[in-house]
Amino acid sequence: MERKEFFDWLSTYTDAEKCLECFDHQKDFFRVNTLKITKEHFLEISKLKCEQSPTYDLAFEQKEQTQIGKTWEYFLGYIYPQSLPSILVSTILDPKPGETVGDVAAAPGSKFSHLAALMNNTGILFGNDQKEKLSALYATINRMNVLNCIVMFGDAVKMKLPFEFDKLLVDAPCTALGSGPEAYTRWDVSHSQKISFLQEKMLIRAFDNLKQGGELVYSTCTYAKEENEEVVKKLLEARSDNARLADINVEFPHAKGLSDYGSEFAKTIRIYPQHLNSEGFFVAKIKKL
Amino acid sequence: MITMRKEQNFERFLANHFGIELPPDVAIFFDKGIRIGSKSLLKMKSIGVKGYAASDGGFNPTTAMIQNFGHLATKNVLKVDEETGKKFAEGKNLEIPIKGKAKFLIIKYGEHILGLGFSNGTHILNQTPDKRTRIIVNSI
Repeated sequence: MERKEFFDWLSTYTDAEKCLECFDHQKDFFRVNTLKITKEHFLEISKLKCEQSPTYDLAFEQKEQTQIGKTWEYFLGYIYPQSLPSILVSTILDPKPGETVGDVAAAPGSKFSHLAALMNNTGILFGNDQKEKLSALYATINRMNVLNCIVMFGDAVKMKLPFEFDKLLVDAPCTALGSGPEAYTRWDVSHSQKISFLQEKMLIRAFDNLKQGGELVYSTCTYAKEENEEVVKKLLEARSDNARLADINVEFPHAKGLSDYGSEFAKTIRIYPQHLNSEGFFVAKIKKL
Repeated sequence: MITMRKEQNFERFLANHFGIELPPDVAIFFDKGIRIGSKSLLKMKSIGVKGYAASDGGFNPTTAMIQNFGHLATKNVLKVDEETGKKFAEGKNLEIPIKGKAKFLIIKYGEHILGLGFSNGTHILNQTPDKRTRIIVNSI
């Protein structure tokens, strides 16, 4: 798609000018890994120029151009470079110590290792992804000291597990319009429509693996409604007896999900680059009654 | 005759050689190799792969195991300065003679555990896998 065409398309969702301008000036963040170091101790020992995010206390904005992957802090597993919305997704799922939690598309492990930290390495953290992506996931597990994990490779669409989950994260493969400045050049709506079949199947399969009373977070880093509200709507229709959207209580700037799919979609959130000077994200939380 | 299982032997090696006593909520177990993980994993049915690799199958601990639990060691720890530490992080061997038998050593800079080396008497042979090595550009 050409930039002008993309601009017009994006304007049907948000202030496209602001969105693209902020997208080009994204802030770089990292997350402090509490499985290796406390935030307080990190601040004592690290000389990295950074500023704590007002949105989340373990997220830090980089204040200097450093190759973060070549720092002591990275080598020692004290930090994970990650966009702010990506960090916030795990906090929206809000796993608790001792729970059984799953991440059905876990590689390379950014959110996965954050979930382990939120669980304080207790309970069970199940991770699944395609076999060829597992070496990246294991590199993260090793470096970040994730101890409560069980890793599998397999098709998330067919995944059937011998246990049920308290919480599940479906950070679905998507067209990534929110994360790559040139992603739109390789994109048109038909791409979103195609991938949405996979997203829908992944989401329904994941939902079926939830315990009664369990919660699931569905997220993408794209703007297209076909991959976001529409996918969630299909789950709500397919499991109309027990799937309900849940409130996402966050204080950071965001937009509500599109009401074209029903007023309940005000419970979902859209993070555009102008909200957090970051990549774009869609997040929905679904409860199993 | 009672034979010890591989994971028990490895745990004994950690205790005898490094003085590492693992926290009570952490276990060494055998699951497609010697692995380390939370004790909560042990009650789970056999599905997937639990925790991460703790050793190469013998007594050679992984870099992950040492980086994450080396701070519990009470012996066979070699302290280095930052410059030497950076060389080690890069994957280089260190020209440091150590008298006595050849043995594994935990390499530490300040309070930070860098990984595992093997002293052959004249050098510390770096055990860090190539993928984990880094050129470090800052100070800590």
